Amino acid sequence: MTAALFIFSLIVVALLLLLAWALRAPGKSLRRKFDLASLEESGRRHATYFALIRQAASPADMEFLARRGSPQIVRRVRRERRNVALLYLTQLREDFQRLLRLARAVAALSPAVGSRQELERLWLSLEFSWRYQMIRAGFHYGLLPVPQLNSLSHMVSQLAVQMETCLKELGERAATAVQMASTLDGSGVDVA
Amino acid sequence: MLALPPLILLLWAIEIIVQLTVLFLVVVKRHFHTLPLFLLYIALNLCQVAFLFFVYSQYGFTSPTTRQLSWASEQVILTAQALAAAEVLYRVLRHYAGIWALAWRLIAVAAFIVICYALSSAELSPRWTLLIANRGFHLTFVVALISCLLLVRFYAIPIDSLYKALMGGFCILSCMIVAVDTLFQALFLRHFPNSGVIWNSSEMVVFIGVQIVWALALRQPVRVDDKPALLHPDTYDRLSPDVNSRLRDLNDVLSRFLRLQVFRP
Repeated sequence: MTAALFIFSLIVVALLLLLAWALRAPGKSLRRKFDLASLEESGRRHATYFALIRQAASPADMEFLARRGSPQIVRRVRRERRNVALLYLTQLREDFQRLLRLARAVAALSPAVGSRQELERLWLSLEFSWRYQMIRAGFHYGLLPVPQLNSLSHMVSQLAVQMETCLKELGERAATAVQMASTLDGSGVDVA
Repeated sequence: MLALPPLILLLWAIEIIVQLTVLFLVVVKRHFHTLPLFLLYIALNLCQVAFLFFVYSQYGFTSPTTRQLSWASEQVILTAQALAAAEVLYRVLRHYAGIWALAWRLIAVAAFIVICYALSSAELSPRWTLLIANRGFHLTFVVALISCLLLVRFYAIPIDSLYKALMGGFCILSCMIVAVDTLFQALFLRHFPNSGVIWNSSEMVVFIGVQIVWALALRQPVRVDDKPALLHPDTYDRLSPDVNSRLRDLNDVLSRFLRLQVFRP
């Protein structure tokens, strides 16, 4: 019976924590929920900076520094490279979050949504979050070396172009759809 | 009535006053237009108090008839509670047809899982069937409601502070009943003195606390929100797979990033 009491107490505490999280005031990112204009904003996606990052992290530079520079400079450059990689990861996450916001806004404003699509998106965001934290922690504690960015270059360059086109197109399509719905309905999209 | 412990009588009196205040606020602030089932829930709670008063005075506090009648009246209250909570949830999601439909599916899945668990537990200990059924109901209720609240947060759907207070109150009440029921079972089995009084008074204290929060929230009117313009049904079907495909691509980048580092010689 003590075991049952312990288990149920844990369940109740977990449920109360979930409740507090679900009811707390939304953060800045959530308050921008239906701001579709921000989703179609022009400008480069972060993935498109990959070529520059690759150049900054070139192994040739490190070899040159090791030959000519002091060990302090090599360490400093290595640290800087790690920071650049971390920053790049953060920006990739922003791209991901931007897409998620678009998807949530479209789902919230749709008369019917597919459970399968929504579950898949939930799973993808959990997966992304887990991988992101793993890589970040690895970099942060020096457990993982800064990757050979060359090997990723081709793939990400391709993706960057696709993302650039796709995000813009998706944003425009969503914004147009909302605009059309607003016109037909005769009211704004202000759901606050 | 004299057989009732003074603590229970005091809590009962406070409970009646607080419930009458809540009922008064629902009527005066005209919340009954939007929350008729919530009004019914509060009214039924007051009726249950009157009914139990009659039963205790006729059959005593601990007789089998009293136990049967009080559990029977509890079923009516639990049904009213579920309907009132569903009504509040509907008020939050009524403009979002897609998410409302998704919420119902989520409630059905959560309810199915927890009811299966409650039934199997009740079979294992037939002596405690009523208590386990009560705990099972509250567990089902709170899991389903919190799942829906998480859904609401995930889709960044705005909730009025009154609805937050009402749903939060329902969840806290059910969570505490789950804990108190389990505690009572543990105390009773150890022959702890006055375990029944502890059980009753704990539930009443939580209920009074929740009602006070509701009374405070009900003083404010609900903010009138504009109905958002919904998208054409095709829009979701066209956009959603594309977005998911892009999310998969981004996930793939991270996956390769990770693999490259982990397996790098």
